[in-house]
Amino acid sequence: MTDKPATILLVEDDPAHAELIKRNFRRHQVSNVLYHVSDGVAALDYFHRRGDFADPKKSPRPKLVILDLRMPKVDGLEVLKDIKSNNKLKSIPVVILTTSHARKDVDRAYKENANSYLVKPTNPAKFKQLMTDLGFFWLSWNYWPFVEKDFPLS
Amino acid sequence: MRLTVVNKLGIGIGTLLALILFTGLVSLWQTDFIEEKIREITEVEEPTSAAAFEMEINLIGTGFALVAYLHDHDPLHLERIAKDKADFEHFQRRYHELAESEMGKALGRQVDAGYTKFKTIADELIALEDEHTRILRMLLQNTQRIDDLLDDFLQDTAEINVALNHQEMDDFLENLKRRIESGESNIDSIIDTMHQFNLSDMHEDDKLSVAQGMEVNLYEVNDGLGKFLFSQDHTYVDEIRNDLYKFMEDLDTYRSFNLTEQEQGWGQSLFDLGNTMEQLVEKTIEIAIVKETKLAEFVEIRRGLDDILDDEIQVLTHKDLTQAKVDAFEAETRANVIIFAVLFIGLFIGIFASIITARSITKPVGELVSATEALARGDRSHRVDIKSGDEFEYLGLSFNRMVEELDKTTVSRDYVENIIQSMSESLIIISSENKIKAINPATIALLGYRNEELFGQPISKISNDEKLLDALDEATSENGQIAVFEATYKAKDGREIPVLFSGSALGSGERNDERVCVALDITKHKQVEEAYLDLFDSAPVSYHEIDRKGNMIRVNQTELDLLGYTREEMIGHSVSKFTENPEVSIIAVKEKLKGKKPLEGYERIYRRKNGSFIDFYIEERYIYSVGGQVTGIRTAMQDITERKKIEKERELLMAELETKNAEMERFTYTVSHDLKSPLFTMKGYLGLLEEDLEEDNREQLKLDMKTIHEAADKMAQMLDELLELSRVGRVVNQSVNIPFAELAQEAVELVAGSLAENNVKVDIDPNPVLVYGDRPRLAEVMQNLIDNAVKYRGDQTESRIQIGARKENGEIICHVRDNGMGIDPAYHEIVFGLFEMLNKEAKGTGIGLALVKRIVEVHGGRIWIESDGNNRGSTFYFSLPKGQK
Repeated sequence: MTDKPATILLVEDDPAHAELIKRNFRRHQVSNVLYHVSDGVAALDYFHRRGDFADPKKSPRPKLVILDLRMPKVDGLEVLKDIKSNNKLKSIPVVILTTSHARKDVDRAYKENANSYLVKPTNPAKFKQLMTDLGFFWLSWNYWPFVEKDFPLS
Repeated sequence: MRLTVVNKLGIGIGTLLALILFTGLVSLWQTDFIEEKIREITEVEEPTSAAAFEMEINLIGTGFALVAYLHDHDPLHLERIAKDKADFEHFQRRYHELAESEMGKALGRQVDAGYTKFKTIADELIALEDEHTRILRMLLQNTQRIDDLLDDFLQDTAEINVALNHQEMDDFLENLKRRIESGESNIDSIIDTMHQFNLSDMHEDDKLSVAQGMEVNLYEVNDGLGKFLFSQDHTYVDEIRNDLYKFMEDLDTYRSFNLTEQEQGWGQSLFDLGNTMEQLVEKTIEIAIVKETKLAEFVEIRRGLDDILDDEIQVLTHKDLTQAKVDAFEAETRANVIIFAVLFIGLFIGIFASIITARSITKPVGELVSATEALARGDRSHRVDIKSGDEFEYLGLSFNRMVEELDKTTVSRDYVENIIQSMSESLIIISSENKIKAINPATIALLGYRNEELFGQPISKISNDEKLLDALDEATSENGQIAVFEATYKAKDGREIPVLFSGSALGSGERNDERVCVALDITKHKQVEEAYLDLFDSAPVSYHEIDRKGNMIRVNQTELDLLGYTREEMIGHSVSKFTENPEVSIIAVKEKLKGKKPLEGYERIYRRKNGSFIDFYIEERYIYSVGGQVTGIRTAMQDITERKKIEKERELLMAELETKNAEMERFTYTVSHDLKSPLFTMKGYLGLLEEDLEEDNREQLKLDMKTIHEAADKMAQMLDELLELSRVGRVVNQSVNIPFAELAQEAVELVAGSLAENNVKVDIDPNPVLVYGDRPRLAEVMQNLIDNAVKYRGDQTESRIQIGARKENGEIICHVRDNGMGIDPAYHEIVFGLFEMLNKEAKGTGIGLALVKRIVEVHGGRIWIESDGNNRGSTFYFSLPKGQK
């Protein structure tokens, strides 16, 4: 539990969904810094510091990744595989947040070592609750790995 | 001078018979032995071996046919099995008739026991297979029923649900907008309305998701079963059970929802079907496992039987055996020749001795005359009585001894006579003028002449075999032996009789040019050999043998016909020369010839003389020498080119089925996921509206309402387009001939507004090419492609679209080329996926290209993209059937 604002990376292709998530977070966890990338390619660029994200200041290592599954070009599962097979990145908790609750997706995500799998509830009250719980669980209750040197912030 | 003649004859015959007695006894024993062996071989071994060979061929046939039946279920194979079985039983009976030796009987019993088992298992396998097919058919029917039920249900639920939500949402938003615009200040009342609206949040989404999950699981059960049946890989069994379990679990969840009466009915039907399906799946798996065990058992028994029969056949086909037979024959002939040579030598000695005796006799002539006269009369009891004390007395005593000797050997002369008379081989003595001087009864029996009909006749009367006549001419005293060879005699009735012929010049005394000929009737042997060769050549399988170097030593006609070679072109050449890939197969052949590993059935491609290829299923067996060394390999090959072709087709079908399955699954998955996305946006933003109202942030409120509207519109659009997509391929207009340029022009006119607005120039190739298809649908294809080109034109100053078509390989290849953004090659496949959009900011739902692909495929065509990406433009190609003029 730290008072330092935690960096969260949101990988979400639907701009409306991203806006919903951002606004809910802003309302409940103002102290956190949320970065948003809108597809899988951008997410990989972010992690590997390529293209628009070549400057480490634009791509600080996140403490938590919120990842959508179905995205154009490179889908969420590919991004997850990439993170979890990279020694420098695999300790970062990845939470899948998607509209799909197909068993296949759930199974595959856990097989690729997702840390959590959440389905976007269509009920607004439930969604609000989820955002609150998510922030509370991961940013307050949860202990982060003490492996800062493996993925230095700069 | 009569005296001298009597004396001469007496001594001559005496010596002769004494010598013959000894030789005769020895050679008689030898001859008997050899003769018995030959009879055994020719009369017992060959026919039983031929029967065994037949049995083996039928066994191989049954095996092949059964395996083929299990493979493709063609009832034709069942007919073949029945026929082969009948043939097998026929030869089995024949074998029993023939096999009289203890070993033969024992083998027969083994064959009986093995075959009974073989037959039982073959029948069981066929029955199992039929049962399997029946269950599989039921299973497929069931799956189809469940699938249909689910489809109906999904369609209804999705349509009702979304239409309902959209309508409600629209009404609500209109209401909200009006109230806000009219400046209503009672925010609490608005929030209340909103809560009411949110309360109508139904379980429908969950119901839909669960139903979709059930459908996906069913596809997987289906897919798993298909894979399992195809590969017999048991790892699929767990997957199948798991998917079925998930299906039943989902069904439970579904039934726990608040269901309408109709939905309850669906639930019950699904539950019943699911249960039946579960039982069927278990039964299928059980049968597949039993089948596998039985099949293994079947193969083992077949191999066992093969080995037994093989031992028998070994006797027939073993080259050494034929050699042994020839050796035995030669030995016998030699023995016969010795008997006669000794006979005549004895005669000569007799003559010589009698001359000496006659010359030395002067005084006791009278005594000797009367003694010899008595002897001449046949009175062997008469004795000479000369007591002169000199050599006459000695002569007298000698004469007496001679008479006594003669007395003894008369029995032996009968004995030799008996041998010659009872010999089963034909024996002929031929004079220097090639006239027949003597024959034995076997010759008479063989040729059908009476003794006097042949005596003194030229040899050409009984044979016009030139090889035989030449051999006789060459057989002079210096070069007296005629080696054994096959020749023909001619019987009285004109029949040609195949014989194993040998002879020898008598080569002594005045019979210098006389020759003795021995011939063994090999008609039966020839018939067996012919039957065997006939069988060998007309067997339904290709058959060949290689020696220890891998060279062909025998090959049957079936194989020659299949490969298009003559026997001469194959014999003596390495077997690998005739395979598809000689370098590879020679290694395998050499490895096998080391004889270290047991041989197993395998498949190999051979090359015909004309260069084409032929697929064989091959079973092999080692040939061993008496010492147990591998001396070669015998190979039976079944032409499976047709089966291979079917197999390939099956694989293609399987792949197609998999693609279709994946497509369907993707469709259901996409629909559930992508339709939920705008739903989430709508409901989420409704929540935000509440906050906007609480904060009284009217600007944000308007923005958020716009987002909701857009999401609702998008959802409605998606639903429309989905229904449109599912209609493609179902609703088909009459196919017609359409000039392609006309089709393109039509589409351009439909989107003229957007083209002008974005300043895009279109260039249509006027080349008159006719395509054949559903006109409105094809116009849709063109329109979507042009739309797509406009949408992704990039930011250049002069956008151009070029449209054309050309004939190629009997179809029309059409293209739409632009100079826009282009598509990275990594995404050339993805862009055709449902709701796939590389650029989320672009307008539309991402269904256009999926629709285009579907329409082109319904027309039997393909669609593909050529583009490097990087703003270098892209070309969409698609093929269509050619129009008929």
